[in-house]
Amino acid sequence: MSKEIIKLRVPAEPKAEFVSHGNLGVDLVPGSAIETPDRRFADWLIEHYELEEIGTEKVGDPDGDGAAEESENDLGYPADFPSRDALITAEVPYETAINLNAEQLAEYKGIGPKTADAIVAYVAEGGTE
Amino acid sequence: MVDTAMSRGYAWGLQTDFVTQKTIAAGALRKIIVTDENTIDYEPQINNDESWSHGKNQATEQWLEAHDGRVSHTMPAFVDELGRPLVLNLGDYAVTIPSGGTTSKQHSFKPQDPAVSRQGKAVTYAETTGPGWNVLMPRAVGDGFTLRGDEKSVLTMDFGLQGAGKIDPASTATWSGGTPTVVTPTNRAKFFNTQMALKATPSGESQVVYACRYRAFEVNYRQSLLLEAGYKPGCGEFNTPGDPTSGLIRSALEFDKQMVDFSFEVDMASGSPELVLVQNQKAIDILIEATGAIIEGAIRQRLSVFIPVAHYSTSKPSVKNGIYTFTITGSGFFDYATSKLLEVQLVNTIASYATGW
Repeated sequence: MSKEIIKLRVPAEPKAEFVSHGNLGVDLVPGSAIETPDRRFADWLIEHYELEEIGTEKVGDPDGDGAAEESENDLGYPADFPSRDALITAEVPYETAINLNAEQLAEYKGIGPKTADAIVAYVAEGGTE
Repeated sequence: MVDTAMSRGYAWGLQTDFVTQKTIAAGALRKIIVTDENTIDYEPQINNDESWSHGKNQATEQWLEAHDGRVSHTMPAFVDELGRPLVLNLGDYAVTIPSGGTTSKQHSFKPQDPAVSRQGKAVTYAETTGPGWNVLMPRAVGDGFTLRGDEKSVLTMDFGLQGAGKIDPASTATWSGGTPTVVTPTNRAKFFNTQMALKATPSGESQVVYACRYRAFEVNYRQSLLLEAGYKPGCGEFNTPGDPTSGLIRSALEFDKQMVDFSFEVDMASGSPELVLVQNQKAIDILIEATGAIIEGAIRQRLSVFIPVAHYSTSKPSVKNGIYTFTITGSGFFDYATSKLLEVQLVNTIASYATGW
């Protein structure tokens, strides 16, 4: 099944340096591009923090008949792996994600501390078995 | 084994989402310093066959269906710690740098927009009374808080944590030693009622600054939770993972209604203006603000509560400390102009309450 990733541009003078809504959060670095798979969160960022939508990207097979193709493109991530789509989009190898510690992960390809913590917790609880 | 009141301890660590328990490692949990001696109220959800057609006039068996647990605490208004219960309850959160600041941060908390998500942040909550009680309650969300100030005392915040039902008595949390899993806050700076200012602006009128007339306040935010809906039979999430006989726990815990009410105590004034505001039911813009020590330049530690549209419901003389004061009660309402029911701002030097604890 395909998922849509929404790409947003942070304004040059953002209203805040960090915002979150429930469990969804993002650093508003001036002029940077951010991605979210959550349409409602994206709309909230656009409405309240004046982010600009710059595009969308389908992750997985949009025709729905490509389960095999999707598995080829999933880099080996289990379906319930934390931030799976974002990691696949960033082309973070599965073996890298499960073998780095939280600090290394946070630094790797801009994964960030929040996602890193989620991955370490997932691995610690045997989620890769 | 002697568990005393002094050996009691409470802590929490922010989860990345509702279902993922915080990994218990060195420094993973942060101690909650509270004034109470409360512990988790754990309730297994049990049922029996009392009304079944088994031919007996009494129940013949009892069984377990699910688990539930909740705890409440009262925290002194620590400048650095207040943001934690706030972000659990008011999930629309932003961090800015106050004008002229470098190390100071302004944290803004508003009720979460249900159109974006009804799932608030969750914590893994830990509790001990000593060796006899050292437990974890993962997947705990906020169900409201009461911020209050009275007389000359420290401001306090009552808050509640509603769990998913799982209580783990095999907690590996350590509360002392070289590298404990529970770290203790070191900055004990607090807000006091003597630092408060109450300002009210009735619609179409000038702002009333209560100054010396101010005595006490209480702001009460409640978010009801979809407690039953959180038990999802199809998810197969049980107290013991993989054991379907161990009782269901919640797979989600979303909020339902969001409400704010308040009360103030102010000295009487000629003409009973607060009674008039009850009688004419004017919308009132309320600001309650505590100002603390300087952080840098002209920027001070600050706690501000904004209720942009409030209506008073009662205003009654009452005797306290030998004098009559007005006790005003009322409620807040959603403001279309500012798109909020309530906003709490906290200025301190904490980088973020959304991560890192």
